[in-house]
Amino acid sequence: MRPKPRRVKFPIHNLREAHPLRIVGDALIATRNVGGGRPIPLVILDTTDRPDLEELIRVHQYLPAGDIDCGWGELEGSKGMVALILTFKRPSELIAILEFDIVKQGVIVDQILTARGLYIQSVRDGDRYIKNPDAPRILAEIPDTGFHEFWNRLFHCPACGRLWRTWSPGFQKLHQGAGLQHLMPIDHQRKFAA
Amino acid sequence: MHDNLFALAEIATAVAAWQALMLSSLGLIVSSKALRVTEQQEKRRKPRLVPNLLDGYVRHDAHCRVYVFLLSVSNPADSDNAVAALDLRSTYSTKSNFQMTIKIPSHTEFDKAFQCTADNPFAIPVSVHAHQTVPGWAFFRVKQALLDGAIVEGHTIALLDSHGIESQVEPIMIREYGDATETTPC
Repeated sequence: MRPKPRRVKFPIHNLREAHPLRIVGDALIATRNVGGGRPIPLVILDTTDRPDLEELIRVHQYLPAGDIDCGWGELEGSKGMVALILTFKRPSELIAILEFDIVKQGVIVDQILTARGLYIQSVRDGDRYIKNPDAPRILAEIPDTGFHEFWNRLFHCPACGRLWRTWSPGFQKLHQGAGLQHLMPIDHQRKFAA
Repeated sequence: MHDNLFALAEIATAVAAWQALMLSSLGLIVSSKALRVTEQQEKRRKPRLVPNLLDGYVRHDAHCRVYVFLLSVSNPADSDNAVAALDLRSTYSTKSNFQMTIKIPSHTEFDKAFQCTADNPFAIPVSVHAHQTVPGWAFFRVKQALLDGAIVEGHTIALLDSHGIESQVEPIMIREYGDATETTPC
């Protein structure tokens, strides 16, 4: 049975947690021994107002695997965005909200759902992955909570149009010439990322 | 004659009514007592673990600090229970004066430095039967780098039972192991 979206209120520990964190950078990391080599997206977060999250990322490298709950949704007054609500249970209890623009950052969400995981890094260790590949980061497992089905409907229309526009005419010609016109650009991206 | 009969019938009816009232009142008292007993039994069946801290030490070395606590966990309930998880919650202030609490899970491996604790480690999960008390030494290993430059403000030992109910105990004074070994009763 298809789950229905519902309006929920979730408890926060302080007012800082109510605001979504700003994503200042992203990357895709594929390592042989994590997630079977699947590319897992990395988001670099502006933690200027969230010293708790910054400290959590730092201490996590010295402790065994933690515990996290996650949920997808739309925050009130945020049209065209999807929010990922991460509830950390250990090593520390806190909530982090990541908000993604469906059109501009939809590929990241799509990749999170495909890889079922997400790396989180603080901006203090650089706003580009390449600047500090050994920076401390958390790997959060994001299981499918039934959101993937909604996401397919949300993402296909706006994202496909944008991808078609951004692809070069030469590549579009090549794509049609190879007999792959039945495949949408999103399917290509997913095939690459799976 | 008829008047007497009517009067007798009225008296008999009144007596019967009083008797019925008495009996129903008695039934009410008995049933309320039975309900109270059942409620108390249910209350006693409600899972609850009571942790007690008997002793606590800390040992520092170059790479980590090891906390070791002698705990006894009692189960005053009428139903069996188990300790599913055991955490040491350290509250500290960071260099930027921000207060943080982290959960350090209990270490399953015995620490060789604490020879006297070898006989009775508190290995998770531990089953605690009804009205039973289980003692044991719990280890928590914290890397020095984790608390580098931080000021530790307090510790709490939290245990989670099989029903997800949390109980806590707060160690006030933790002795340095090296200094206290002579007085350790083991």
